[in-house]
Amino acid sequence: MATVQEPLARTTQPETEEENSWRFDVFGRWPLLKRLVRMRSFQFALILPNLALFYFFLITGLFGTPVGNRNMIIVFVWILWWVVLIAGLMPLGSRVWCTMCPLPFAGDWLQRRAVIGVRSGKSPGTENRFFGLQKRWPKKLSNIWLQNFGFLFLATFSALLVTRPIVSVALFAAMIIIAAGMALVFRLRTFCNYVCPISGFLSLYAMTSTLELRSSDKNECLKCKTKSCIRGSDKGWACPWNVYMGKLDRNNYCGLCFECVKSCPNDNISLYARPFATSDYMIKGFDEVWKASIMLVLAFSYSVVLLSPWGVFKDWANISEKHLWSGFGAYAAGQMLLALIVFPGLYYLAIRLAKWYSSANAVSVREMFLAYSYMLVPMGLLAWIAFSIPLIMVNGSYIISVVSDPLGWGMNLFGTADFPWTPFKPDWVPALQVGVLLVGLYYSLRGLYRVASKVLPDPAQRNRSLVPPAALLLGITLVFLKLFIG
Amino acid sequence: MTDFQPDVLRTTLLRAIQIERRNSELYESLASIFDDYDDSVKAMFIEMAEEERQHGTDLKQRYRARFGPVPLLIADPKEVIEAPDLPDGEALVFDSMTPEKALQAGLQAEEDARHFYSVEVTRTSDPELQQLYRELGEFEETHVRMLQDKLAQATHKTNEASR
Amino acid sequence: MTKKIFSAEMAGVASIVVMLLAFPLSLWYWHSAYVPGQYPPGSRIIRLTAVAENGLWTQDRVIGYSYWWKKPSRVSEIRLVQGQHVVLLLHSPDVQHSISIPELRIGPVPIPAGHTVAVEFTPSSAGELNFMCVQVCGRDHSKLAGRFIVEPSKTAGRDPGLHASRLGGAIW
Repeated sequence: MATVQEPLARTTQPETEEENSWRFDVFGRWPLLKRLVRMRSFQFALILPNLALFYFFLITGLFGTPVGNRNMIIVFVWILWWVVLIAGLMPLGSRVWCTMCPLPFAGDWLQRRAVIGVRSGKSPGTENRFFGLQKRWPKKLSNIWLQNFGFLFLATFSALLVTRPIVSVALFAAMIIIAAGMALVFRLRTFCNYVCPISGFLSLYAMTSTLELRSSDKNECLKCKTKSCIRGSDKGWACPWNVYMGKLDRNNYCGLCFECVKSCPNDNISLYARPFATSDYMIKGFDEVWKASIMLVLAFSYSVVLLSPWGVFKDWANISEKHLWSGFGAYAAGQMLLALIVFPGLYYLAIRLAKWYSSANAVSVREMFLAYSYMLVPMGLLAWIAFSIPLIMVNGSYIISVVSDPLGWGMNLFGTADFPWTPFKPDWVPALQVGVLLVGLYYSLRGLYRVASKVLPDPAQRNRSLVPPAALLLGITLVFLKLFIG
Repeated sequence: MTDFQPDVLRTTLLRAIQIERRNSELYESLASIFDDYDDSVKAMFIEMAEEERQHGTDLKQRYRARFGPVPLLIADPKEVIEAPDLPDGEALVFDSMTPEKALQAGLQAEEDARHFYSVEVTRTSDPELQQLYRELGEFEETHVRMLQDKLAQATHKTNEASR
Repeated sequence: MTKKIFSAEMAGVASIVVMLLAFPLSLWYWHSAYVPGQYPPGSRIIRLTAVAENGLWTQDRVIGYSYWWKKPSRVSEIRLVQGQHVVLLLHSPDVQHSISIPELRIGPVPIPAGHTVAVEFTPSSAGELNFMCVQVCGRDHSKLAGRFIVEPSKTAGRDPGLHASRLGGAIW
């Protein structure tokens, strides 16, 4: 008698045992959240308050006092928003800031001619009707190098950016205008993907996040004939980030707009919670490696300029008032050199040593350079969090006074306008910074080990290859420790 | 041989036809993603969609020769055998799709199908079913070879152009 | 779009328009109506800013967009009317200043950086009242001085540029 068994399903990439030690379906556990997310008005409901806030920030920046700590744009953006973003939203929520970011809103509206609804139709590559020229972004710029250099450029003027209201206004106004202009010329959220400096570092550090949006069953995506996640449908816009959910395996370029959740005809996309820094180990290009380097060096540079006792660096950075051009030149050149050449060079040296010491002849330097660079990601994120701790603990009291007098006009909306500058437990700051840096070191070493296990399955080779990069990580940690606690 | 054997053979061949039809639609869907974005990738996917349709036509001829008229196929197969896909989720973010990668996606799908049928040969004890799976496997083998040739030609062209 | 979505769309657009208008209107109201309403009717409200660079008092806007490029004009004299209640709204756009009006024994009243401080007085007799910054605020600190010229009430010629209750006045 003939026997016929069920055919084997095509398997996708198997999960390794160390990945997703726990992982649960957030939408499955809280169906109400899924219902909310599927509502057309969900994203707009999140964006509108932020739009109002940033609009008000622009007003305060233009018409309020030029004194930074008495102007809402400086205090709320560079103290409150920054700390909430780097220490809360990103590690816990991936790119959830992008879900509610007001900066590309004008561009989206111009491109979609809708704030809530979705338009069916045909536009290049999509099943939606978009407006504008819908040009393709140049292939040569389809990476994050622009974001790398953009962020580095902005960081050079960080002393002005985070203390002068008008400079912050200029930055955000420029971003809104550029995003709107690009939306009229190019397809989808080209600004967010390739130009926005905030998006640049969000893409990198989202890899560590405890949230991920993924397809539930990859086989369903394989069979799906509409590919509505990326092409859109009458239920949702085409993915503004140009991401294909069927194969998405990391958080970097998913902006959590949840359009795919609305448009997927198979209800096959869900939000998952997972442990911190235990997935998404893959660095795909040199642009991402340099992003990791730039962010780590800038965490160091910001700490030196804004927090250290060496006032000379602050003076060099404060070009608008001190006019020390030679100092500013030294500071700018030094920062760029460190971020673009010196640190990547050190990292390259560590990789060459790792390859030599482990006799890993089957693996190219390029492959190891790319793969092992993940180790810079948790370290960088936690270094930024460590930098941000004194921001909120020492300067957080400005929030209390500014909320009552946002423009420095003499208002006292909530009776706290004269709340004095009151550092909160400043003696705790060094201990917290040390703790955070050590957490960063742990996750970086852990990630390095995981990545090395995939690149070099042989345990002896793997262990030897870990020594030079681990030594580099330890060196980075010691430098930050020296900076923060002396 | 039992009475239900012809039915198993018939449904197996129908499933193979369904797969080819479904896959041609998948290729068309993939092609439309590259509409006005990358003409060469789109053209490659459209070409592969056309080939899948041709494969389906060939299989239908075999079906007619054996079992008579081909019934109207409404549902898609449950299996994901031979389903082509983009190489990664960020192919359009980094603009990394090329006609060669499109061919590789198709080749991967055909190799999966060939492998599938070769495994199915070992999983059944019925000689007629085994023979059918072997034929389907050879069918996919010709597609694999054809795509390998195309990929070699495309790669050669690219190398020539870059010199 | 369905009717429901269209309604939501209109509500969304309306909320954006309301937001765009609400903030400027609220601030305008606060500046032009609410603040004058806090003081006795007929009060003269004078907004003065102390600028450390070049050491000057000014009635120009020294705010976010103008601080870096517009040189504020120096105010050396302000005419007041005898018996008219005066409210000085003093602002510092840079460092801590402190005002004193010695003839009236007012001050030192600190003007912290970024704050707006109110000083009220009613000049009861005609004459001159000096005002100056009494906290060292920079190398031009000694230039931060001016005077009020109090005119007798019958002969006062009002300087329309200083009349505080005019709507649409300087916003800062």
